Amino acid sequence: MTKEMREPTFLVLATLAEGKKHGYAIIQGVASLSEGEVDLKAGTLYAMLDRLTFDGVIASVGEEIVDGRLRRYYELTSEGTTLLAEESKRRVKVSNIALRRLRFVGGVA
Amino acid sequence: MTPQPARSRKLLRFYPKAYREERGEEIVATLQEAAEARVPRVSLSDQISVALYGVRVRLGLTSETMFGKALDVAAIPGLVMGAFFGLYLLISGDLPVVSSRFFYPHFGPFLTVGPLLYLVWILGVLVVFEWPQYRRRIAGVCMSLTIAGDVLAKLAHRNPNIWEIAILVSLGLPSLLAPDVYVTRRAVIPSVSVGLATFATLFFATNSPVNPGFFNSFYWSGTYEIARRQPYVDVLLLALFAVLWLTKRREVASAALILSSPWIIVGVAYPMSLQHLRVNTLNVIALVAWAVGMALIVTTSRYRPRPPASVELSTLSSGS
Repeated sequence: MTKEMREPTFLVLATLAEGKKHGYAIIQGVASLSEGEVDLKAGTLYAMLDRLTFDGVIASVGEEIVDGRLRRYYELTSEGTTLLAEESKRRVKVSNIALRRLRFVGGVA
Repeated sequence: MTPQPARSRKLLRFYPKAYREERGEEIVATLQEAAEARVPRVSLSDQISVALYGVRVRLGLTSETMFGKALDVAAIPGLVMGAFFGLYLLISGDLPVVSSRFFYPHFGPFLTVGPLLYLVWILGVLVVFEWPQYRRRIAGVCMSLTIAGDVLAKLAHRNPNIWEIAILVSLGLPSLLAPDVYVTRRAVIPSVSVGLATFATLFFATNSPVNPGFFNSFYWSGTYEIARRQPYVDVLLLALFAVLWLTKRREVASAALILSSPWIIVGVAYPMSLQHLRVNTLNVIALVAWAVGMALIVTTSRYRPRPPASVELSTLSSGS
């Protein structure tokens, strides 16, 4: 069955495009990218991280202890980078078409 | 340790031990950081999401396990199967009674709420085809209304067939339990094929020369014919499962096994519930084969620790 990328997954990958990040930094990145629209819950985040790691889209690249707390860092793999690039191009293409059509009917200046 | 991390650690009990050992401290740290940034305690929604994911990991219902993948494959075909089952009950069960001179409608244009429930399932499927990302909510609505319909029909002094209600409700379970990470595409053709196959099988399996096409669903029991012909269907199902499994399409094979669950279980449970009916031995054999298959899927889907990754552990600063 073919899959397509959901918005939260896209936002997680886009957050990791900036570089390696740990769990809470990803939650913050997603909230920032979505301008507060997507509030990723911890359970949802770990379901997503497990899935993306299993698919080889992201990888765990290190751990550190900060203030007595374990941080595990994740980053995009080369496969993940390609996937994100393709998805971004697809979204840009659709958005451009939509904007062109809106301009055509006078909806957007 | 402050009371808050202790509370977060309690949530880890929902996870299997191996997962807890591997990811537990990381999840607690994320919860704590999120809590400190928002309010001075872990939010209820974060606690619920962590606990629910723990239950999923424990039951093997995540998107990377065989069980999770099979549920994902079975989800929309299950709803479509429910809709076609409803259509079958309407055509073969409710309508013949409405047009019979021996019976007359007591509840609006139909005998009971049955037809309204079938309509819910049919509309539910149409909505899922349009917005597959809402399949879990739609399955929840279909299942809840079916259960509520049972209560309503009883209030209207009807005696809904509990077995058929059980089949309908359980056909929504794959959508309700399937992991929800990616948007699933509609898969219209395979799903409708499953629905049509269900309809055709039911039609031929229950159409007896003694009582042709007369098989009321929500009025009295017609499940007898299903249970009586179940062995023939079981042979087909097991053959389908074997072919799919041997051709390495194991997720689809597992999905077929999941979708056959209500029929196989009812094939044994229904006659067992009635003293004057004998349970067909072949149905029992099929039930055992089904149980073995399901046990295999569930066992292979249990969480296993990942091989240790080549990561370095560095201590930046030690906490209090």
